[in-house]
Amino acid sequence: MKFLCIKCNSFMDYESKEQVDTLRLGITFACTQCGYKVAMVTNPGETQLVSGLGVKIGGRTVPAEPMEFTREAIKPEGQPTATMTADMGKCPFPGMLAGTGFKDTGIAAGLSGQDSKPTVPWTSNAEKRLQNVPAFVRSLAHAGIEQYARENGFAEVNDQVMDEYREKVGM
Amino acid sequence: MKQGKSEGRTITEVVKDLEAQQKKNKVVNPVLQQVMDQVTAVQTRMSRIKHKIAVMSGKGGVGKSSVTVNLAHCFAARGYKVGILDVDLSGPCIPKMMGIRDRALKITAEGALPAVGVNGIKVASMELMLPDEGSPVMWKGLWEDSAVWRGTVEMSVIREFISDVNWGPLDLLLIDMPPASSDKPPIIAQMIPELDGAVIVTIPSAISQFIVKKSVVFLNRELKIPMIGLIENMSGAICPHCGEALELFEDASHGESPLQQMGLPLLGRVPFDRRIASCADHGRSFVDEHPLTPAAQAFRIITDSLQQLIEARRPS
Repeated sequence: MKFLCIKCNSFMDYESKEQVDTLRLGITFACTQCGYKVAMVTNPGETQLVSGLGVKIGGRTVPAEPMEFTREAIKPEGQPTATMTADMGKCPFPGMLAGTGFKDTGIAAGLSGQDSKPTVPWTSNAEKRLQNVPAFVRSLAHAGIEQYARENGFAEVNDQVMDEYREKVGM
Repeated sequence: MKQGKSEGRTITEVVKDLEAQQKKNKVVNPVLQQVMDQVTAVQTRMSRIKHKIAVMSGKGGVGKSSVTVNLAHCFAARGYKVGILDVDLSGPCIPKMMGIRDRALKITAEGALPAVGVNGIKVASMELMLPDEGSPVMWKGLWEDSAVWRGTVEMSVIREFISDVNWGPLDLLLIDMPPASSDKPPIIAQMIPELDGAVIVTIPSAISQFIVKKSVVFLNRELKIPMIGLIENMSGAICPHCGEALELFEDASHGESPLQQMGLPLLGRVPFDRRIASCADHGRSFVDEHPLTPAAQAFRIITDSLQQLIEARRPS
């Protein structure tokens, strides 16, 4: 993708990029003739697909290191998959450990994921609406909606969150 | 404001002019430049290897990796400097079969150094980048559910294995392909410059040959990947008690298979031998430990044919 400065009949050059949030990039282009600038905000999917090709948006400033892409792409073991729902993420074992003596050792707290990012509960209607999202982008939408809810102080993912998020991503 | 116009010219006219200027000035899009650099890196790395053979099948479970390992040992015994590139990302078993599961790839400024196993055979595999034997291959990303995204990531990983592993001087690279006929293997095979060709592994069952035939047609006729020949694995067995030969597959005829009818030469038939699996499980070389068995002899006969063929095709 490139931008054309209508005034100068000139392609705009990539100038800089910044991470808007975990899902999107803001990329600034400037006209080489008049200096006029525009910024585009990528869709989460575009960002993921381009990074999946092992290329850097805007070009590389340093050469790629050997096996750089592979090393960055491997998910550390134990990291939950994006498809885990809030309920799936809850470990049943801490409850079973209650009263067994393990509770006070911190093991139970660790298993319950108390140190990880808090999940936001979903209303049943919101979960139902999520099922309407095509399967191949559902996990992405799930993560994006939860992040939106957290960032905007919602205690749960409800219809209002779903509506606002849909408005935000233009779906 | 004029829509779609720029000083009376259409956007199409302006873009064509600008692109012509860019072409004249040799200006390259930064993303395209990176893709071109990736292609150059693959070509440079592969050009240092004398011969490259892909070991393929259209179907899983036919013993492709086991055949690859035993051929590697046979070539190494003849003085070849051999490497195995295991590009089966989801089921990488070559390091285990070579007894080098615990030797991680070493990352250096000159590239990733492969692990070295018995007979000096070098191995690069996804397995050698995983923390331990029980770790599955999982990719980091928000689109984990998307087959499209996962496919893109996996092809980038494979491309990096081809371009970034520093094999040193190598006479022969055997590429152990993932099973399947229509997904990654054709793309991988096309990624490797000056591939001598593909060896197809099958078993004497009608189902296997039916599936493998599809992949051969696709690879050869559509993608023009040269087919070296066919290896029939698990081609009968020798009873460990009485030494009598028996068929593993009831309907196996060992006559001319549909693949041979297509003109694919039969390189050899490898009988089933439990010790092949046992040696693989323990990372030992079957052909070295049991050299007088019919299976080891079959591997050596296949190696004879392959050696003649690749040396005649592109003298080293």
